[in-house]
Amino acid sequence: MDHENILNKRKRTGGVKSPQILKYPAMASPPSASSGTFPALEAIENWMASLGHRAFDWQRQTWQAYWQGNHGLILASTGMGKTRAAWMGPLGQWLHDPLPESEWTRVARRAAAPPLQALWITPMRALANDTSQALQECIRGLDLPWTLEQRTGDTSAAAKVRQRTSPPTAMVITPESLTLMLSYPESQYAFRHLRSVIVDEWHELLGTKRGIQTELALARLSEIAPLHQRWGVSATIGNPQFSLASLVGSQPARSTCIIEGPRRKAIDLQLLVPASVERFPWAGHIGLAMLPQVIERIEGARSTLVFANTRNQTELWYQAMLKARPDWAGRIAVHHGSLSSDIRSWVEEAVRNDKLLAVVCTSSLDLGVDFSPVDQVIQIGSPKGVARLVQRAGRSGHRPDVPSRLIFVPSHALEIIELEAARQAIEAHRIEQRPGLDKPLDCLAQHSVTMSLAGRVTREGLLEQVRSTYAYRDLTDEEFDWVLEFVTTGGSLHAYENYHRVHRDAEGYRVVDPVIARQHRMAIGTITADLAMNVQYLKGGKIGTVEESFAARLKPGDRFLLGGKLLRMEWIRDGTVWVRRGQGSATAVPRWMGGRMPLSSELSEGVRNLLDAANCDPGQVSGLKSLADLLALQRRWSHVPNKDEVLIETIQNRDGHSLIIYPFEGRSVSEGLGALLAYRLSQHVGISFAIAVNDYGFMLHSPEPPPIPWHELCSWLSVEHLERDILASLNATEMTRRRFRDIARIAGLIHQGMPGRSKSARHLQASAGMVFDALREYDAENRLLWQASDEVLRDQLELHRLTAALSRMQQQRWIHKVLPRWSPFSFPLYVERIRDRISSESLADRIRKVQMQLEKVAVSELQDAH
Amino acid sequence: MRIEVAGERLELLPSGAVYCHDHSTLFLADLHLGKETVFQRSGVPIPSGATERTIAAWSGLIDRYRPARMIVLGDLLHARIGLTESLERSLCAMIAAWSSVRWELIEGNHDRGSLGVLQGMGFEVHRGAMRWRRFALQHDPAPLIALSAVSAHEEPLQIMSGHLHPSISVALSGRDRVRLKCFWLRRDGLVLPAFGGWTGTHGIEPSGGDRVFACVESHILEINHRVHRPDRSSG
Repeated sequence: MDHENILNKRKRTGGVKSPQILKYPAMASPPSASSGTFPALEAIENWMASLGHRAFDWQRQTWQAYWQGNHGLILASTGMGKTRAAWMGPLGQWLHDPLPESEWTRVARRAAAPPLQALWITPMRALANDTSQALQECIRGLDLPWTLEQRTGDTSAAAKVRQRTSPPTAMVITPESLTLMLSYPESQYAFRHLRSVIVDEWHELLGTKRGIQTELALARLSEIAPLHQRWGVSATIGNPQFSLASLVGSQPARSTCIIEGPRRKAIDLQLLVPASVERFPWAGHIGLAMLPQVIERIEGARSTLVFANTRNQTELWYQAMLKARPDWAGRIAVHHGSLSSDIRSWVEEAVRNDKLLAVVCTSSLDLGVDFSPVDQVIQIGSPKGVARLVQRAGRSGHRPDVPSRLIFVPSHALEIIELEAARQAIEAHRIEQRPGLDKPLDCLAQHSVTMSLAGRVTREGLLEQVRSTYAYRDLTDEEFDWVLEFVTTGGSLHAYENYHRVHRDAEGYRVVDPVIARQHRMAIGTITADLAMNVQYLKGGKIGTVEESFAARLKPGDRFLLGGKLLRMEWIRDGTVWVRRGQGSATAVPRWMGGRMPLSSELSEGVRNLLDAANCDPGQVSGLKSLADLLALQRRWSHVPNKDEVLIETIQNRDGHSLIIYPFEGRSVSEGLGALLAYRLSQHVGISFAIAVNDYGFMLHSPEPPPIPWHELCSWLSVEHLERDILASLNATEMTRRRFRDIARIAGLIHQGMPGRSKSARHLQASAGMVFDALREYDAENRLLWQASDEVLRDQLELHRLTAALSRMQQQRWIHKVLPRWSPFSFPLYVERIRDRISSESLADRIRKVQMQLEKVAVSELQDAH
Repeated sequence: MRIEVAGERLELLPSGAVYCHDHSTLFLADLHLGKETVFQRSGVPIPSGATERTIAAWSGLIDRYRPARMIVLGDLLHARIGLTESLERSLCAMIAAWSSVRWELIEGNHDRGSLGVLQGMGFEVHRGAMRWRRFALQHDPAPLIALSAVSAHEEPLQIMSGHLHPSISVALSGRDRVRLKCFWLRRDGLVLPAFGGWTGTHGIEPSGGDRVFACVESHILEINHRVHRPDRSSG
């Protein structure tokens, strides 16, 4: 393609930096601090030398810190040697200070082996195999008498039972499996010799409910084996101190340290855009138009991961690629979280063995298996965050001498600014923080039942244990007692006469009913499972899952894409969507939750700064060259806001009146602000508005003219009564109801249904929505309802960003422009607005028409200008 | 709201019951009494209250209409284990308080394990279906259960039933929708909404000639369901 214009940018971001050890004072002096140099260093280095490897300085420092008895957090990218950094400490300690053979355990027909010494917690089941191999290699290399086994949901039932009483010396385990083991009384003995716990990919767990589950499990481990050392392994994040604190708890018994490994080697960021960047960008438009160029780049590489932001997009791109290159059938694949684990592991295996040319995937491949053959990553659409971009780039060029290459294909022109902002953030090492969760009571309820299963617990004992985690350090007595009440009597007085999940007696709390015990253990593993329906061929063979709400709208005969295949729905039965291969084209498009990530606050700020910079000195920001025309036009027809300005545009046309405001703060803030302003205005003048939002701003549209003068708008966006108004303005009940699904499942308010028993338990089936209704109507003070609305405000609407944006806007200058026609900034919002009302084909026509008209004016004006 | 079905004038009540003044007969369906207890007994903390409120609403209706016959179209109880002593006591008290009423129950799928107890309490239990005027009273609307009392040359009976817990989704301003429990008048008969307080509903897809009457607080509103068809392209 001759109009292709690849802006090839090579920038060294970071480079290998010398290791750094940061120390923080401990609450108490470390119980088993050892002095002197790590005595096993020589043995380890000799072994590594025999493999032709050399230990890095930062690895040595990690081992030394371990040897001195610290807890710690290792910040390092994948492929930089973090596994050995974390693992050699415990192994080396054994070399120097082994457990006497008299303490070893003997299991029938097996040689005696040391009891459980080390746990390696991994967030992904798929990682367990690879990790086990790597750990085993070290054990063998140092000739340790250790046994090592995995413990995940895939472990056989017999092995699980044996591991409960006689675990191996080292165990690779998922958080769910760990919690499950801790729910058995035997765990008290099985874990008592534990010396070290390592949590891998800790950043993946941080800020999630699985992370909270892990923190609680670690707190229990500290009771059983108080002397164990705890280390986390994490990718670089913006708030490592919080990460460390969450790992070691609110009152660590040892001193703690953070060890920064070398930063990621060079990232080669490239931009793939057509020569004439479309001036009137609309979501998804440039994307597929770049198919030929994308195919060309895939052809030129050994193996490529193509990241799209939604599962939906992966399916569309995969289809488009196959259509363009039918000969690639079997050489490209699709991978996302809704595909069955069989299909996913097949794809992962095929990538690793260099059998695939390309995989179109979502964040499902963000981490995990080491994909050495992958030499480039193509990112379709903005990754919306710096950390995600770095992580994805890191999936390519796994060998130390090769840079990671990421080719960015914007899905609309303005995303070019986001890439430039990301590039600058990486250079300045500004990575997003991982916000924590605020003592979620659903997880606490689950944990309280788990602990009551393992043996009788007392109120004081459990409270102390829970408060020793960082997440619950501020838990009030009142909150804790509510949770205890919730699991014993249901939560409100006299309300739950027939309910006894946990039994309370004079000595404490305990689960007595074996049926409840079994149900609870089954529920432990479901913290992450989304409510989804299986999709399966009539002839057998699982393909994956779709969301319940999507399945509910399907009619027999409807066709949809999943796993790169066109499927025809036959019927829905027993929670399964039964399908055959379909013919023709898709009639319905599955939507999965979590498709649209808002632009992170780091990137939002970056975008605002870049626009400012482009205003001061157009042409100086090299990454924005391809956008010069578009920005010039925006400036001509409207305005490009500086850092200290808020841009408002108004436009009147046949449809009515539109008011557009650009806070540049991500789509959830746009959504909140749009709803807030519309609500406040409608309260005042009784007009209702249609609202459209994107990551940059929002548009209110009404048939009547805006009811107030624009210079008063600022006062309508005050922070006063923000929370009250925002809840009133949005369909908050509906959002809370949706949010409640997870909470209900974790807190044990709904049963997942037992495998093979769905029929007999039918009278026990209630959807989370029904439970929500019951609580709202008959127990409105239930704190889990409060939690749901808190989560909506905090996580979904990002209230803190909303508040910050409002305060910022109050300080800024408001620039009002009356548009003669849609400006480049407002056009995507216009598209968003009409998108909801029109079928996709007529939408494309209509947009093309408007776009052509605008383009005509633009071309003549720009020619005049030149 | 009064409608005429199979030659009978029926009053649709906002609570989900049907009253026939001409024959002093009250109908209701799907109370699912004791449902929250069933959940509680299995370790799921659903708050109590729905059952109590349902019984209060029920005896309020009896008090207001003083029917000669009270016919429940099935699923009076949610499950046998939900029939606690206190629930049994309140049911017995109600039956005793209105001794002039003839209490009848068409067996519903959820009642199956409790029929004996209910009979003992004073309910006249009909298995399968029962004829009333030009109606077949049955729990599940499909299929029409053959009644020996119907002669072959008669026109087919209309079915009055429950079981489906019908509700209709109605578009409000903008993109908001609200789900309302409703009566569903079909070619083959009338389906009653669930009378019980916490029973869940099932969205219906009425076809052309059907009529839908939604229960909105203390009113019955006929819904033009052709206008409110849910939009399949969004969501």
